[in-house]
Amino acid sequence: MIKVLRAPTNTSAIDFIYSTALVESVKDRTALIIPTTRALKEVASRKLQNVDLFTIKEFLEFTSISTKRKIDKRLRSFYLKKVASSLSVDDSRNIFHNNQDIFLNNYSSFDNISINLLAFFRELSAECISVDELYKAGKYTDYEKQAQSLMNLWYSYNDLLNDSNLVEPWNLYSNEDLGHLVKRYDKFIFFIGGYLSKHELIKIKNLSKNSDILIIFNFVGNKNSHYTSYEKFLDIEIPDADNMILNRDNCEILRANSLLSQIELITFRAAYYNKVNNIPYERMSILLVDDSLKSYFLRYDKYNLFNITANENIDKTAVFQLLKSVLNIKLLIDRNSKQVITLDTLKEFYYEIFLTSLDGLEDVRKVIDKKIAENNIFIPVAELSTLPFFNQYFQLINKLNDELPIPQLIDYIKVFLRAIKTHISKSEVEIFSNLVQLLDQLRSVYSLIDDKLSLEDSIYIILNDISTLKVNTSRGAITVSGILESRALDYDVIFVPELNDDIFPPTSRKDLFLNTEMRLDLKLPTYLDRESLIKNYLLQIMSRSKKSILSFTKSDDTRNSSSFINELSFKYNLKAQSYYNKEYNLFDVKKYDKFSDKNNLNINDGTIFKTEKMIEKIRSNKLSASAFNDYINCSLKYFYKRIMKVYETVEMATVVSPMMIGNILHKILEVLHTRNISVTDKTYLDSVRDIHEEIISGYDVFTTSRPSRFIQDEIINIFKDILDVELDRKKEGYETLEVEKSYEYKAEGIILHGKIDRIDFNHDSREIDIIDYKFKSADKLSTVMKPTLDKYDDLQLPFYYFLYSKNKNVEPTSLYQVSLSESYQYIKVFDTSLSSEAEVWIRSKLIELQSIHVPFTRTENKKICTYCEYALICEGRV
Amino acid sequence: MFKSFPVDCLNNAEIKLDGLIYLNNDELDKLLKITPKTYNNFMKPFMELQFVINEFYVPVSHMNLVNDSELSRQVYPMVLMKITKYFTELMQREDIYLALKEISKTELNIIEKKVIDDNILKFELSGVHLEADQKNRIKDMSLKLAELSDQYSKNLLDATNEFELKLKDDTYIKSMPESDKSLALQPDKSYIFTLQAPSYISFMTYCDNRDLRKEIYKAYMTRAVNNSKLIEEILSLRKEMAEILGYKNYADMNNVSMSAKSVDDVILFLEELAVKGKPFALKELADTQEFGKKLGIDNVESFDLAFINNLIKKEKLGFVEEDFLPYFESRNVTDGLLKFLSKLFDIQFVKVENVEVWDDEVVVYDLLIDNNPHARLFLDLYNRKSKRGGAWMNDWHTYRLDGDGNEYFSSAFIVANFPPPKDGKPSLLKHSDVTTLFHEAGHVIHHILSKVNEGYLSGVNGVEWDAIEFPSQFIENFAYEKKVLELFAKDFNTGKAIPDEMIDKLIKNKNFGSAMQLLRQTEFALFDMLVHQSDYSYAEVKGILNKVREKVAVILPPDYTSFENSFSHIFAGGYAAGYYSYKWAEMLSADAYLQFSEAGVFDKELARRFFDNILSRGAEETMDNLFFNFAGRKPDPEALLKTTGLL
Repeated sequence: MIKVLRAPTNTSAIDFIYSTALVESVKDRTALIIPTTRALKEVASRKLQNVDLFTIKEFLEFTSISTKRKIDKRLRSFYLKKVASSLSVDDSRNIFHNNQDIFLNNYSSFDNISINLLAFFRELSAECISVDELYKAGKYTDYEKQAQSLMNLWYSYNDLLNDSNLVEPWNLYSNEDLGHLVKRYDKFIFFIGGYLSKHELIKIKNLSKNSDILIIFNFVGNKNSHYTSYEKFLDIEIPDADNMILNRDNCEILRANSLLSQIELITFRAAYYNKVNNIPYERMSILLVDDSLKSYFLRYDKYNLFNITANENIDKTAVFQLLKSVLNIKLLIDRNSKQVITLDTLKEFYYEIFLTSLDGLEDVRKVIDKKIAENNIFIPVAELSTLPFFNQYFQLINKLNDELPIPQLIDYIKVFLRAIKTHISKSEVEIFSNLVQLLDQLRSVYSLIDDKLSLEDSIYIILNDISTLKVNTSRGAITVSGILESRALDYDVIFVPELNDDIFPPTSRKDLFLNTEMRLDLKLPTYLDRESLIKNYLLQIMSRSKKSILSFTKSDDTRNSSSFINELSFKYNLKAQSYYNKEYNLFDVKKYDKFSDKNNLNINDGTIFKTEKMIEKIRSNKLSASAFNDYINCSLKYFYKRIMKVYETVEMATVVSPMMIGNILHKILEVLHTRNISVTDKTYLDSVRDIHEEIISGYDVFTTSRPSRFIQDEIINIFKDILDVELDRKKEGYETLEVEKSYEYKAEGIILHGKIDRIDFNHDSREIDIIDYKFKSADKLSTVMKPTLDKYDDLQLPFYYFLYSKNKNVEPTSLYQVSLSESYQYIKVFDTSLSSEAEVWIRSKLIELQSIHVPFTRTENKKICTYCEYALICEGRV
Repeated sequence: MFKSFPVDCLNNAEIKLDGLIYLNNDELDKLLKITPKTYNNFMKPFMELQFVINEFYVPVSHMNLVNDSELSRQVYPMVLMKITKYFTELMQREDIYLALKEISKTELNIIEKKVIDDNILKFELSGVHLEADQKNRIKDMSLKLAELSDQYSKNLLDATNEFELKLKDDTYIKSMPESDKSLALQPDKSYIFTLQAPSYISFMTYCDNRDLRKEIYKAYMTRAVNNSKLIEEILSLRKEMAEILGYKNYADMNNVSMSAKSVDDVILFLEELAVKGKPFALKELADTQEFGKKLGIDNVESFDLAFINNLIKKEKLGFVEEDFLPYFESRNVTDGLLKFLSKLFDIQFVKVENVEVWDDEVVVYDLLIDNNPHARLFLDLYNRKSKRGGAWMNDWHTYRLDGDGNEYFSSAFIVANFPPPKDGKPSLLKHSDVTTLFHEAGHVIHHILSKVNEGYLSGVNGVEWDAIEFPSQFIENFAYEKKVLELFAKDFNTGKAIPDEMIDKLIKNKNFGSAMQLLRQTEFALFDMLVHQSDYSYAEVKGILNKVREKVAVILPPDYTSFENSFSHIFAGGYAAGYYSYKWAEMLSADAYLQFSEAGVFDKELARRFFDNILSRGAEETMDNLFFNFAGRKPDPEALLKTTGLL
C-alpha cells in the first residue's frame, strides 16, 4: 500500500521527515530513503530508533540483485571504448560522424563523448525506453539512423560486460527481485524532491506489493504533468500545494559590481546576522549556482567563516600538479620522435609547481627564459636532462614503457610519490596520504583489466581518477554548497550570489543525444523542467529561511540577472538594491615584494619613474614588435612585462584558447616550410594532419582535459582553405622565400628584432610581400592605412617594414595580415606610402623609451586594462 | 600601489561598518583565546584590526567634512555613533587589558614595550584594572563629568547669546572693515553686536567709544556666573578620580600622557616664561599707554588694549594685508611649500594624475623617500559650498608593518578653505592663509614621514598631547623665513620676488604685542595647572587666579570679571591640566626652528637629524627624549621669546 504526504512548504523539511519517520516507525522497522548525503547526515544526527537511512542511490543499489559483479564506474568508459572500437563502419560513422579515428584512437578524446553516451544510456535505462520508442520519437530526423547504432553500441557493451562476468547496475533497477534485504523492513519512506525516473517508479511499485510505502513529496507549486503521471502509475494522489509563504520582507536582492563585492557583502551580512539577530553561523548557508565559485570563497575567506562542502579538487595542490607535469612531460618526450618538448609545456610546468622546496626550479626557469628569448619553440630532452631538477625527479617516471597495464603505472606513481614525500608541505600531508590510499584502491579496480594500454591512455585514466579526489578545506561554520547539495535542508539565512543569467539556471549535457522535441515525445523532463526544478529547490529553501539575500553581478551590459531574479522581483515587487565597491574593505593586501629591485624604483600610482638601471635594461633588451606594441599601448604594461619581467602566473589551460589555436597554426605552417612541403604536394593535407598531431602533443590541454574534436577539425578545415588560396597565389607567380625568419636592426641605440612569419617574392612583378598570420577574423585585423600613426595601437607591420627594409635595403611592396580564423584571407594592413612617417614615429618612440624624463604611465584606455594580465598588480591589489 | 580614495564609501556604509565591527569582535575573541599571548600573536593582529576600522572610518568622516550631501548627513551620524561605541567599549574590556599585562611580562624590544605600556596606561586611565565598586565609581564619575562639562558649555552659550548691544548707526565703528560691519548690520540700518567671538573681537578692536567697549567687555567677562558651582563639582570629581586611579591629583594624572616630565617642570617652565616675558610686556604696555594718552585715555584698561593696539599697528607698521595678496598665488604657494619641504628634508613629492578623488580640485602627491614611494598626500585647498569651514589635516593610513611583514604606506589630507580661482582670476592667499598651510603641512610630514614599524606609535599616533603641535608650529615659522619665501613668494603678475621690507613687515606684524600675548597664555596655562592640583572651592579658585595674575599679568582686569566661568577649554573641553601644551609645543618648535634659522635654513646635517630623530620617529620615544636626541640638550624656553622677536 502506498501512502502519500506532501512536505509543508514553510517548515523545515528535515523536521518534517524526522517527525514523520518517528511516528511511522513506532511499531515498524523502517527504511528511510532521502535524496542527498547531506540531508541524510542531518536526519541521522537526530537519531531515530527502528529506522535505517539510505540515499536514493544506495537504496537502488541495494535492492538491485545480481549474481554478477557490478561494474565500477571507473571502468565504464574503458569497456565502452572497447566495444566502440569494434562497431561496424556504419554504426561507427552514425555515432561519431567522420571523427571515429579521433575518438577511438585516443582515450582522452573518447572520454568526452563516453560521458555523454553513458548519460544517454543511463537515461534510456532509467526511463525504460525501448528502441522502438526511440525510433518513433526520432522519426524523420537524422536521429533515426543514429538511434539504431547507439542501441547496437549499448547492446554490445552489455554483452561485453556479461562476458567479463560484470553487470551494469542500471539494468537491474527495474528487476522484480528486490533481494532479501528488503525483507528486513516493514515500511519504506521515500522523500522525493525532484522527478522520479521510470525505474524508480517501478521499484516503488514492486516494493509496494509486499511492503507499506510512504512517499513524501517535497516541491513548491502545482503538480505538473510528471507528478500526475506518477499518480497514475502508482495509483496514488499527491496532495495539492499548501500556500507557499515567501515573506518579501525576508528577501533581499542586491545588484553588485563584482563577485568580490558579493563575497564582501556576504561576509559583512553574516557577521551582522550573527551578532544582531543571534543567528549562529552554522544556521547560514551560501548556495552556489556553480561549483567553480567555491574557489573564490576559499580564496577570499579572510575571517575563516566559510565551510566549503564537497571541498576543493586536488587539481590545485602542488603534489597533483607535480605529478601531472612529470607524467605529461614523459608523454611528450615519448611521443615525439625528435625527443623535444615545447617550451609552452615547460613554462606551464614551471608555473604550476609550488613545491618551493624542490631544488633546481630556478634553473628550469632560466632555461625557459633563455630559450624563449632565442625564439625557440622546442627544447631537446637531452638539454633538459642536464638540469639536476629533472634528473632527480624525472628518471623514476622515465623508466615507464610505452604500453603497460594500468596497475604498473600506478606502481610507478607510488614510487615517485615516495621520492618526493619529504618535500610535501604540511598543508598537503593529508591529501598526500589520501592519494596513496586512492592509488591502492585504483590498483585493485584496474587489476580486473589485463589489457596493456598505451602510456598516454593509462596516464589519462589515472590522472582523471585522481582528479576526483577532494581536498579537505572545511574551516568555518557557514556552509558553502551547491543548490542541489542543499535539497531538503533549511537554514535561517541563505545567501545566493552570482544569480546571473549565464550560469543560472544551469544547462545540462543530457540534451546532446535527446533534443527537447524528442524529450517531449518520450515524456521525459526537458531542460525547462530541469530549470523549473532547480528554481523550485531554491524557492523551497528560501521559503524556509528567515532571511534570503540574493545577488547578481551587473557591472556593464554584458551580464544580466537570472530569470529567477526577474520572476521574483516581478512576483513579489522586490527591487534590487545596489552594492557597489570601487575599493574593497576586506580584500586589499599590499605587498611590494613583486619588485625585486624595488630600491631603485620610483613607484607611483599608475606611474613608474625610470632609473638609470632601467634604461640600461631597456637598451640591453632586444625590442620585438609585440614589445613595441605593448609600449605604445600602455608603457606601464611594457614596464611590468619587459623590464620587471613579472610573469602572469597562468593557471593550467583547461580549454583550447583561440590564441593556442593561432599558435598551433603558426607552428604547422612553419614546420611545413622547413620540411619543404608545398601546397602543390598531393600529400599536403596528410602532412598537415601529421604535423598537427605532432604539434598538439606539445599542449597539455589536448591530453589532460577533455579536448574538443571540433577544434581539431577546425584546424584541418582551415588548411583546406589555405590550400585553395595558396594554390592561386602560386599560379600568380608568388614563391615563399622565407618563413619565420628573424631580423634585427639597431635604431636609436636599441636592437629591434622581429620574426617575420613569411616573405613571398613574385618573380614576374618583382614584388616582395611581408605576410603575418593572425588568428583573428578579417574585420578585426589592425590596419594602418592613414596618417597619423599615433592613433594606432598595433604597429607590428610598420615595424616589420622598417626592420626588413633596413636590413635588405629593399622596400617591401605589400604587407598583409592573413586571417586564419573563419576564412583564409589576405588583407593589406599597411599603406607603404606611410613608411617614412612610420620610421620617424618609431624612432621617436624609441628615443622616448630611453628618456629618463618620460615615466612609464598607465594607459588611459581602460579597455586595455580590462584584459591586461597586470591589472591586479597595477592597481595595487596584489 | 596606494589604495585609491573610496569616493563611494558612503554607499552601504552601515552594512560595511557593522560587518567590520562584528568581524573585528569575532577576531578579537579568537585572539583572546590564544595562549600564551605574545606581542606577535596578539598585539600585532590586534592593532591591525583597529586600523581596518579606522581606515574605513576616515574617508567617511572626511566626506562628511568636505562633501556635505544628503547622503553624508544621513550616514555620518550613524557611523560616528557606531565607531564611538566600538572604541569606547573596546577601552573598557578587561580581557584585553589582561592580555596586554600578560604580554608586558614577555620579552619585548623597547618599541614593543612602549606600545604595550602606552596601551596599558590608556586602559588603566579608564579604570579597567580596578575592583568592581571602584570601576563603577569611575564610570559614574566619567558620566557625571561629561554631564557637568556639557552644562558648563550650555550655561556659557546661553550667557553669550543673552547679550546684545545695539548701535543705531555706525558713528562709533567708522573704522571697522565693511566685511565685519555687514555681519552686524540690521535691516533697519542699525548694528547689533553680540558676545560671539568674531562680533566681540571686531567691536573691541574698532569701536572708538570707550564706554561702549567697557559695557560689552563687562558683559563678556561676567558671563555664566552659574558656572561657579559647576567648577567646584568638576574639580572635586577630577581629584577623586585621580586618587582612585592612584595619582596625587588630576594634574599629575594628566601628566602621565604628556611629554613634559612632571607637573613641576611645567609650572617651572610657565613661571620662567612669565618672568622672562614680563619686562617685554611691560614695555609693550607702556607703548600702549603712551599712545592711549594721545587718544585721551590716561588710564589704559583691559578693554582698551585691542582698540589702541590696532591703531598703533596701523600707524607704526603700516601693515595692510591686501598688499601681500599678489605674492601668494595659491598654486605658487603649494608648489613652494612642497619644494621647501623637499629641499629641506631631501624628499620628493610627485604629482599623481588619474586617481579618483572626491572633488576635481583635489591634488594628489606621492611622497618619495630615497626614490621609494612612502606616502600619499591629498590637498583640497579651495573653499566650496559643500565643505566645512576652517583648515585641518587628517591622517588616513599609517605607515607600519603588519605581523606578516607587509608594509603599509601612510596617507593624509590637508583641507583648507582658500578662495578658489574664478573666472580666470587666480586664487590669492593672505599671509595668514600661508602660515595655516605651512602649519597643516607640519602635521602632515610628522605623520607621513614616519618610518616606525609599529602602527600605534607611527606618525601622529601615540604622540603626547603637549607635543602634537610641535612639527606644525615648527614648519609654520618658515612661512616668515626669507630663504623659504624666496622659493615661491613672487608677484603673480610680474614674477617679482617679494621685497625684503615686506618680509620685515610680515615679521613685525607677527611679533606685534607678542609679549602681552605670551603672558596672557602663560596666565591661563598656569591657572589651569594650579587649579587642577586639588578639589578647590570656588573662592579658592578665584584666589588662585588672582595670585597667578599678580605674578604674571601686566594689567589686572577689573574685580568684577569672572574669567574662570567662561574658561571652557579646561572646564568643558579637552585641555584640563593641558592648556600649557600650546606654549610647550611652541617652545619645542621655536627652539628647533631657531637652530635651522641660525644655520641658514637649508642645513643638510641639521635637517637629517630632525628627520631621523623627530619626523620619522612618531611616538617611538617620548617627545622629551626625541627632542633631546635631536638637539643634544633640553629645549630652551628662551627660544620662544626669540622667535617672537622679544630677544
